[in-house]
Amino acid sequence: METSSTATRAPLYTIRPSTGWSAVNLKELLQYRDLLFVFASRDVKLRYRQTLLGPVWILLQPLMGAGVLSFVFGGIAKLKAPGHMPIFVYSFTGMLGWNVFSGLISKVSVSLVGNTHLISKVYFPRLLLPFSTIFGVLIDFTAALLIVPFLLVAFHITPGLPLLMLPVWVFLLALMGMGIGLCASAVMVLYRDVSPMVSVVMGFLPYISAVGFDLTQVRPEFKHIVVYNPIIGLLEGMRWSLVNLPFSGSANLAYSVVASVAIFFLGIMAFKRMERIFADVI
Amino acid sequence: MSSSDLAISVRGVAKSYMIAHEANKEESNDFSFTAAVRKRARSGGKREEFWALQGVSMDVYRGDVVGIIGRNGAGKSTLLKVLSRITEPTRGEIDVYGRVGSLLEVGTGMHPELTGRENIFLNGAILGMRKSEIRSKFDEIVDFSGIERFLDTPVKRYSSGMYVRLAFAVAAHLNPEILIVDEVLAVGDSEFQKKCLGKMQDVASHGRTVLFVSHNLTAVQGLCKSAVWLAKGKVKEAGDVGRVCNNYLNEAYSESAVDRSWDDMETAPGDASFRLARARVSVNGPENDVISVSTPLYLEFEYWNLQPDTVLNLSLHVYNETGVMAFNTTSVGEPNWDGRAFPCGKYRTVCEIPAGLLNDGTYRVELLAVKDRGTVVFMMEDSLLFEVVEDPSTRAGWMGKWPGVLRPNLSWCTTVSDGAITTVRQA
Ligand SMILES: Nc1ncnc2c1ncn2[C@@H]1O[C@H](COP(=O)(O)OP(=O)(O)OP(=O)(O)O)[C@@H](O)[C@H]1O
Ligand SMILES: [Mg+2]
Repeated sequence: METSSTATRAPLYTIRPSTGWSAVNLKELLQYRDLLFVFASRDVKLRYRQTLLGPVWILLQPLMGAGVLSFVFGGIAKLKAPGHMPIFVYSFTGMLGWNVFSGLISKVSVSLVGNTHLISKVYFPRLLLPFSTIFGVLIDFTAALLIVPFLLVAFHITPGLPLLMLPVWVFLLALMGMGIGLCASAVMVLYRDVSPMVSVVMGFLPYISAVGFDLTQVRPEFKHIVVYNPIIGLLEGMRWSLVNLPFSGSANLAYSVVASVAIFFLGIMAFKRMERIFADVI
Repeated sequence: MSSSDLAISVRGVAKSYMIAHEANKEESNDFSFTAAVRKRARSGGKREEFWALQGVSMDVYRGDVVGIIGRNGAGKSTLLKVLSRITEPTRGEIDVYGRVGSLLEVGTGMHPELTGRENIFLNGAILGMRKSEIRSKFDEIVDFSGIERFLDTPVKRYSSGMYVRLAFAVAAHLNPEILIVDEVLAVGDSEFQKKCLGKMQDVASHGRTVLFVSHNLTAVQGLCKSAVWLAKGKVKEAGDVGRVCNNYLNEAYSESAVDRSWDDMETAPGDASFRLARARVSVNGPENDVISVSTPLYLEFEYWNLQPDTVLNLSLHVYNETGVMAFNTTSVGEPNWDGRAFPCGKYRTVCEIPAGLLNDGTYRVELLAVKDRGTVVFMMEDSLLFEVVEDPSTRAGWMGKWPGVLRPNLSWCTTVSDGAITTVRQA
């Protein structure tokens, strides 16, 4: 009843059809922050319910992932990581950044269709659903990051000042993943075909994104194509910060930065544009 | 009332949905890949605009308790969804003068894997409560729900009654200035419904505004002072609850399919073996009399049997408005013709439903004609549609929806079984 005296003349808000591109209502997002955290904690709690190992999976997943990558590329294909870096360290740090990007895409893209009943029965800023996935992804990242000091000690690597840049790479990878995820989530409301498409692309993308090995090392002629992949620059940034591996020079860092920011805003715009039909067609 | 007392002002609200055009009937039996793609491509191109709301205007004043009534598909839920910002109007404007809480479903967003405690916070936040608000009301909510022993059990292990009680306990502690409620009375047992109604009465008596959709006219009349009757996306009538409900009931009755006949045997529904000539609901009394829970009624069917020497039986599936089959009755055991071979000709079969069997509500009768005790030769999903209205004299003051699919009048009897003990105890 707090607003009753002030609401006598002017309405609290007016509902009318929206037209064209609409802006993000930051003030409202802020008002709904409790719900943002509730969604986030729901997803985190649900992830390891009825698992035997529980949160141990957070550590096992990246370790096993990097193990597989270094077995395939180092053990079978006999590829060498650049700069005499042990292949496991190369893959692990690659996976670390890659998982932020791909983890967001896979979680964000299903964040709307996975909450159909909410979207058709209650009002809240729809952006909360994709945004709430950030927490889970960051928890995974942080847990995996805890393994890095052990690697550094084991392989006698000393990171330097570039370590301070680490949050920047994570932030940019997250922006890019969020942008693509937002687009995918909005389109998925209309066409569920997006889901298999995303998983196919995400299965292929690591091979051209320097996650487990450097493509230009194997096929130097791909160099001029690889330049257009903004992920490579950010992953190299991660390695530069974490394990002191210098940039290879095959990727354009400025381009990566601009691309991540642009992809994020494109994603937001697409999402806001489609938002008004979510409840009707989901 | 002056405009300063407005709670919600709706002006010319229209809402259109795009619906896919229905695919050709013959084609839908073809499940091949090419057919599926072809159908998809075609229906994708052929989308049709459907206007669920067509220019609704109304003013709701602060402290009003307004019932919204109307047939299935009239646009009631759509209106509530537009009011609670779940979906946008296609046209029109709505001024909202207060914090809205909407309850379109009980337990929205509750997750089966999470515990009762976790779900209270989840559901509360989804309904728009702040975390601090839920925390301060937490004990009350738990008390109200009566499930404290299971607070740390995942909700998937709850009985459905416990689930509904927990969900409602959270909803009941919602404290908005304007409460929007859709059809929540349709679920739960009578105790739950009583709680729901009590809570809404409570909210209303505290001067807050309530918009309430229900098919249960008794509850609407008990709770609301005014009502809005929506029909095909338009406001058909608004005003005093008694008047609107009465007019609605009268029309509902005249609109039902209570008497349908087909004079031409060639075009009547059916095929070369069986055709339906007439389906009718009647009561024993003046024509067009209203069917109430305490009048007997007759389901009457006239039909042509076109295949000589078939043993014919009629079978009726009677559904209530929620789609639950109330019962299935057949003409097996009918004294005159059951088991005999029917020569070609026209027949009339009547089924009597005694007074005091059906509950109040809308019933749909699916008619099946069965040949030789086993083969269905004719089926009509909606051969009859009729409304059974309340007879207030059968109610003992209880205002909620009478629970149950049926409301049979059964015989009851109480006797003193051991007078001696009673006397001893009294002494
Ligand atoms: N998302 C949607 N897409 C297409 N059509 C829809 C959608 N939602 C509702 N409709 C249609 O709009 C019409 C009105 O639906 P609505 O749910 O508002 O009816 P209602 O009055 O609440 O009915 P009921 O009493 O059965 O709940 C219906 O014909 C329905 O099929
Ligand atoms: Mg409805």
